Formats: sequence, C-alpha cells, structure tokens
Amino acid sequence: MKPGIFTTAASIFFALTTANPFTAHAEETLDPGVDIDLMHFMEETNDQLTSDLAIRDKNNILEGAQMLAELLQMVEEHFNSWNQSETALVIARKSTTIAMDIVAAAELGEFETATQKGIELSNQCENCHKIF
Amino acid sequence: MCNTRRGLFKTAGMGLAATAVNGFIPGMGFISAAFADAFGDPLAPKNPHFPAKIDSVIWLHQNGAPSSLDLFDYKPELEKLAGQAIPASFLQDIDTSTQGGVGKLYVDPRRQWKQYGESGAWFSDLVPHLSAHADDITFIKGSKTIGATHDISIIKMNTGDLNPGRPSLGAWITYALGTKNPDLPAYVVMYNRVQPRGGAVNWGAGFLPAAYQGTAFLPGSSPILYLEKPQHISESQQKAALGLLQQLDVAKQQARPNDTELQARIKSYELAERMQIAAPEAVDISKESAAIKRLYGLDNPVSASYGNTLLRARRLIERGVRFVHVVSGHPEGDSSIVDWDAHSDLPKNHGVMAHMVDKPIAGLLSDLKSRGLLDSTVVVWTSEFGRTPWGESGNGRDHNPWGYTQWMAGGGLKKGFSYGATDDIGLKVADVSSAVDTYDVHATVLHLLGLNHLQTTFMHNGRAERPTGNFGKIVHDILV
Repeated sequence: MKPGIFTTAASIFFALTTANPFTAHAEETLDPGVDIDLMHFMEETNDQLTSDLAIRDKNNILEGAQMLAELLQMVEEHFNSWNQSETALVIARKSTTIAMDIVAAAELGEFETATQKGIELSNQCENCHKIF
Repeated sequence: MCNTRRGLFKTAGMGLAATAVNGFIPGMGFISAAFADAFGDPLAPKNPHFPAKIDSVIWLHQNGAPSSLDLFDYKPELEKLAGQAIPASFLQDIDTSTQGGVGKLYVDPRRQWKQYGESGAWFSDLVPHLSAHADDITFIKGSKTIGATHDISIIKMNTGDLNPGRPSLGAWITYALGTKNPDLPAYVVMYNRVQPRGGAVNWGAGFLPAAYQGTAFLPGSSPILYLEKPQHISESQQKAALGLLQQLDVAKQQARPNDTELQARIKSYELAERMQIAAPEAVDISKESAAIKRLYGLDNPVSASYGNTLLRARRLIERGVRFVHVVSGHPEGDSSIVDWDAHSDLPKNHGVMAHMVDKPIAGLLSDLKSRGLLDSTVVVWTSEFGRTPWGESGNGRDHNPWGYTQWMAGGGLKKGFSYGATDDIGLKVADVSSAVDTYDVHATVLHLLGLNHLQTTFMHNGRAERPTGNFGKIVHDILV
C-alpha cells in the first residue's frame, strides 16, 4: 500500500473522529465528519487538482477528482440529514456531479473540459462558502 | 495526505516535473521558464500561446473605489426610491458587513445623466470628457469581487487572491512575455502621490522570480530612486565598479543557481545602467506639444499631476513597456481628499476626483487613438469594488463588492459595448451568469495578450500555479 493512502486514511479518520464545529450550527448536525478539518483537506485537494489539471497529470487528476467526489458526497449527506439549507444541499449535489464529470473527462483525455469543470467546481465551493 | 506524497514525488523528481510543464509556457520551447532563468535573461522576449490582439496594458486603478452609480451606471429606479429604505427584495443573498450599515437609498439631486455616441452609453455630468469616448469603451457593468475592505480587495484586484503573496497580473505578463525594450523595465508602476493600501505587494512578483515585479516610477526628471550616477563619480569609475560587482555576483550565483533575488539583482544592475539614459528620456515630457499637454489636462491644477502621469504612461507604452500600472492618487492641494473613498460628502469627493481623472483619461484615449496605439493597447479602468446605492453619513456611500462597473478600451474589444448589468438600484449583479470577477478580468486581459491563463504556469512548492488560481473565465462576449 502506498504511504499516501495511510496519510489520507488517517486524515479522513481524524476528520471523522474530531468534532470541531464546521458551522455555527454544528451542534445540530448529525454527521460529525463534516468539519473544518475536512473542509481544509478538500480545499488542499482542490488546489492540488488545479495544479494537476494545469500540467495534465492524468493519474493525479483522477485520484484527486475521485477523492473530491467521495468527500462531496459526504457533504451532501451532511446537508441532507441536517435539512436546514436547501441551497447548500443543491450546491453539494452539483459539486459531486462536477467532480465526477472531471473524472469522466480526464479518463477520455479531455483535459480542457476537465479544467473548465475544475473552475466550475471551485466556483461552487466559493458559492457555498458565501453562506458558510 | 496524498498532497504530501505528491509534493514528495514532485520535489524528488523536479526535473521530470519541469519536463511535464514543457509546452505550457509560451515561447520557452523545451525549457520551462523557471529553469530558463538560471541559464539566461529572465526578461528575454517570449512568444504568446496564440496571436495576440494587443501587446501592452495600461491598468488604471481608481484607488479608494469610485461610485459607478455616480459615473456610468444610471439607475432611474434609484432616483425614484431615493430617501426610502431599501426594499428587502434587493438585499436577498447580500451579507452586509460594511461599516456604515444599510442606510436610506441616496442620489445626489444635482447629478445629471445623458446618453452619448452611437452606443448610447450613459455618462454622468462628472465625466464630460470621457463621455466623448462612449463608442471606444467596453463596459463591464456586472463586476463583482470579494471583501469589503480596501486592502484585501485591492490585493485581489491586482493579484487575484485575497491574501498577499501571489504575483500581480503585471508580473505574470512580464514572466510570460518578457520585455519589448531591454533598456526599460517591462512593468512600470506610477502612483500619483500616494500608494494604494497594501503598498508594493500590489505589483510584486510573489513566488515568481523577483525580476518580474513592477518598478515604481516617481514624479520628476529622475523617475527611479538612486538611478542617477552621483556627480563625483566618473563614467569609467562607475563602469569599473559595476564590472567588479558583476564578477562577484556571478561567482556567488554559481553556488546559488536558484537564488532569483541574486539573478534579479545582476540583471537590475545591467538594466539600471542602461536606464540611466533611457528612463529620464522616457518620462521627459518637455518636448511634448502644448496641445498634447492640454489634452491631458496639464493646464489645470486639479488634473495636472494625474495627467502628467498618464502622459508618461503613453510615452512608456510607446517605448515598449508592456504593463503600466497607474494608481489614481489625489490632486495637489486639498488634503481632505486622498482617494475616491467617499464615505461622506460624495458630491465633493467625486467632484474633485472625477475632475482629476476625466480629462487626462479621455486625453490618453484620444492620444493613443491618434497614434494608432489604441489598437495594440488595452486601457483598463479598474477599482477594488464599487459603492452602495444607500447613503452613508448622509451623502456618502459605503463599499459595494456585489455589483459595480469597470471598463476597458483598446484592441480586440467590442467598442461602444456594455456587458452585464446590476439590478435596478445598482446594488448587485443582476444575472450571476454574466458576473465578472477580478480573475475573469485577468483571464480576459491575458487572452488579449495571446496568453491562455490556464496554460501560463509556474512550478511553486511542487504545484503548477497559474495567474487565475482555481478560477478565471475569459469574457468572450466583449471580444471582437
């Protein structure tokens, strides 16, 4: 197993086992995994994805976008169970779809499409963080 | 974390990483620009990614944030609602953290508006000279940004990021295209008396090699501090001293090949020697005709210093300077007005500030046009944000990052054209799909220069960084 898998798993485990509030409403949330650490990790992953898209590093694009898709699904589930912000849920759903679109485009070698989708994904992050 | 693993791979295999970016950097062939610096002149001219529409930029930062609602963005509905509380519907999705709170809607009752040119663009009576260029200007009326403080939003306007430390747009352009005139800096900054908040980080090179940062030109006959040869030193003495210095620097460089500060210093000494002649000549406006000086408003004490700066800007562009960044500053005299930041008494503030910039900018556009330079240059009217439709302290306006007007004029653009819009009272962008953020302006300017913002990259800390960060959308609708 690659050393990065351990660190990735450790990072997600850390995110899942710490209950740092992600929002002012964190006390009400059912899912303790979606917190500020996870958000920082996703932000870092997105920054790295932008770099991988710029240099068209297919393997790392696939790994980064796939990971983001999975983590965004967690965010989606979080907002779904919280049931307090329809907008955030819509953004999370859309973001998951976009992350999967990046995977699909990269697999086909369509890096321009993947890059545009990457920008779209960052815009979704920005839109959500206007609320949270 | 996988990022760490990637970082490790990239650090360990930097040569491979450099190979991976080959072809993404304009004009560098099979050597990435980052590595080319170690071998040659970092300012050597480089080819764009595709044919450019323009080859130079004049970046007019209106420091302090003018009110679009008093200059270019006419809102009859705001006039109707003036004096009333803002209808709640307009405040949807707006998080007002501005200092002044949300006051009653405000218009200056003396403001007059008219349409000009075939385009029918609206201009207020504050900018009578600019209105004559209605059909030269491309308005971006749905501009938006982040932040409500000047420092942060100015840095974002210049670098695309809220935090200091990223390269400014001018630095990216200089990195990607190099210089057109080896005797002058490729990137010049001029501020009319005062620097913007945040200071020099607004024209810094960030993580790019230091050679790409902007060079500040000061008013007066010797624009660069300490550039002139001291009177008691002869030319041969200066040459001998510089020769020795270069030998020492080059010897040190062999042990520190990646020290970009040292590379920049070596180049800057060479450049400085050439600039001792070229720079004073470039900014010497004494031979400009009286008519040209009048055109730039040099005959009026309010507009004289800004006009002088813009006339210098034209001379620099003419001599191959690629990016001229002008900070508006303030006129000589009235110390109560230092920028466009009119939290109170906007009529007085904007009366003075508009008077200061109106004729000089109109003069610059006319002058560039008559010399055939407007086709190869883009002039950008930009500000960190706009101002609110509601009043503050009676007749002032607060900061508005949600919707404001910026404009461009020059090559490759649809002339006499307005793109996007704010809502009926000028508070926020009406249609988010046509919103233009600062990094979109950057992407569009780079595109006009023949650069793909997504392929203009620099390896930093194991990551391929680009000018627009994770964002950036070329505003194709304003391009010819």
